Amino acid sequence: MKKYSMMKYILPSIFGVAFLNLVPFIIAQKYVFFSSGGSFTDIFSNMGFIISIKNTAVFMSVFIPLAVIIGFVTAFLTEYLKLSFWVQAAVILPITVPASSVSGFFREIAASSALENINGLFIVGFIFLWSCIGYTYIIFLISLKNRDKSIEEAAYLDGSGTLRTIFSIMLPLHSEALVLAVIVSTYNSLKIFRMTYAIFGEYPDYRMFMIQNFLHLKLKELSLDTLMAGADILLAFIFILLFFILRSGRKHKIKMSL
Amino acid sequence: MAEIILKDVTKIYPNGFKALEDFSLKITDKEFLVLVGPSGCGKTTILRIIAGLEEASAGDVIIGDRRVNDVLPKDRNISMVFQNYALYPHMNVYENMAFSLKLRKIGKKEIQEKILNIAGILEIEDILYKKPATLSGGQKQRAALGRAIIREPDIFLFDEPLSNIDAKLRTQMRIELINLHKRLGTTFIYVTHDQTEAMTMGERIAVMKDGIIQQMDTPENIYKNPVNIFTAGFIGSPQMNFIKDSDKNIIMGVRPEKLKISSVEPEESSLSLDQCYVEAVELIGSEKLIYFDCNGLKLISKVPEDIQTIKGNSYKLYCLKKDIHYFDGEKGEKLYYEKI
Repeated sequence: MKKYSMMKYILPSIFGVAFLNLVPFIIAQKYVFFSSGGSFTDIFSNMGFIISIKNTAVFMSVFIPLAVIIGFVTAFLTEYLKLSFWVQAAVILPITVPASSVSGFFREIAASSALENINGLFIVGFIFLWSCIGYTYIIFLISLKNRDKSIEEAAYLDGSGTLRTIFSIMLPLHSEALVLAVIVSTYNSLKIFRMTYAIFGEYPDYRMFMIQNFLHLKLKELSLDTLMAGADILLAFIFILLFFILRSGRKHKIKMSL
Repeated sequence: MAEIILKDVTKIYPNGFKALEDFSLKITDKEFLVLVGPSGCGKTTILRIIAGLEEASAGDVIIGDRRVNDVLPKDRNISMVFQNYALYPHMNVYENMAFSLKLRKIGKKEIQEKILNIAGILEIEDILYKKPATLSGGQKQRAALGRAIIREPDIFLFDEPLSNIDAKLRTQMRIELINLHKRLGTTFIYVTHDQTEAMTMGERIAVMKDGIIQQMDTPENIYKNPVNIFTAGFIGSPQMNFIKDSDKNIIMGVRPEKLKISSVEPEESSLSLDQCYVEAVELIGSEKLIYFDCNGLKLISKVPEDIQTIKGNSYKLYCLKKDIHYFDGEKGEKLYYEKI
């Protein structure tokens, strides 16, 4: 009964997502599967797509782990060294700042001569870290605050040093937070386009040209078959990534209880 | 040699709370000492300072012949059994026990031999490959003990380890811990708020209140000769009856088993109370606890179960001179009969 009474709160969201996202996405599949051209074969011969997918893969494989690690280390330092309120505020506040309000600031930085020779991807990466470390920080901080301290103390008494305790005891115990932090960072990495668009415009340096830039241009050109093929590939990539993240989290949870 | 000396130890927490002030304690090698007292009296703080999990704000912590204030917990060769067991949840019992040995780079075969040996002593062979989440409270307790024992430490610290298991198992574990102490021949320091545990397990008991040891002696001496009203009230179940004599500004203490019910008062009695009405009777096996109301004064008498009383009826209570403890009405310290 309780289960059904909750449905009235969830249903509007389900309908919203279905009508605004799922249904249009499914309908738009006709451009991929029922168009005359071979969308998938075309897209893989498109240089823009290849560059964007390569940049996206490099970006995600470098900066998502970095966001997770920095978030964990900052949360760890907050918990153990009692970082000041101002440091904590500096980490958390960027998540509340709208992209457009700081785009001018980052545009100035990116345009400075000191950054001329730096790969644009790293500039985007820096902006990504600035804007999303707050999320991973909060996730790990909550997890660390709720931990059973005596388990770490037992490890110290057993002869374990700080690093060993972190890797052998703490990280396995906070694996659920780790999975959540990876998911949230993945989600945020897809959102970073809003920020790069506001800062660098439609045509950023090719080194920071990512899959969202590509999809945006294809939408503008109304090249719907290429757009949908790219979206399908991106979706498949995200699903595969999420599948592995959730499976490893689930595997660990089962391992803890057997 | 694992003699422990705490000398003028003070502990002030970052929030300003002073848990201990100039606290001194000497625990002899191979002793089973129980620290007992109410919550917040500082007993766990002492344990943690000895383990190195808390830093003493001032004073010396000496183990054997070395000052260990600046020695890391892992280098003190101390094992601790925690109240919530603190087993590593992602490791099975075998891995929990092997963890400290692996850190010491002991070979796999030797680790296995040691674990099987300890598992045999603690009768946990059948749970060696189970994760802590699947174990009962008693099994977790044994696994935690196994992890503590396997390191062959100089000192064992126990932080209320039996408080999360049921009463029947607790009694059994008490006996097992006493036997374990005899078998291992090392120093045991045991913290509890349960006076029954303290009385049954400790070779010596330190009764604590507000960061100060009120009395440290054998269980028998503490029970028979409490040095103040706090110790008298804290040790013993049910607790000692207290009767205030406002004229002399003293408080008389009588253990429930020394408070007799009789219509005929013996000659050597020094305390007799008339018109004590029975409020309630509790049968606790071979004995009964009878709750009396003597003109507003609440008293408990512990009598053999064959003594018959009727609820609501009035009885006469008495106590022998030698069984009365006298305490100062203000300071609560013990007064000796000759001085009264």
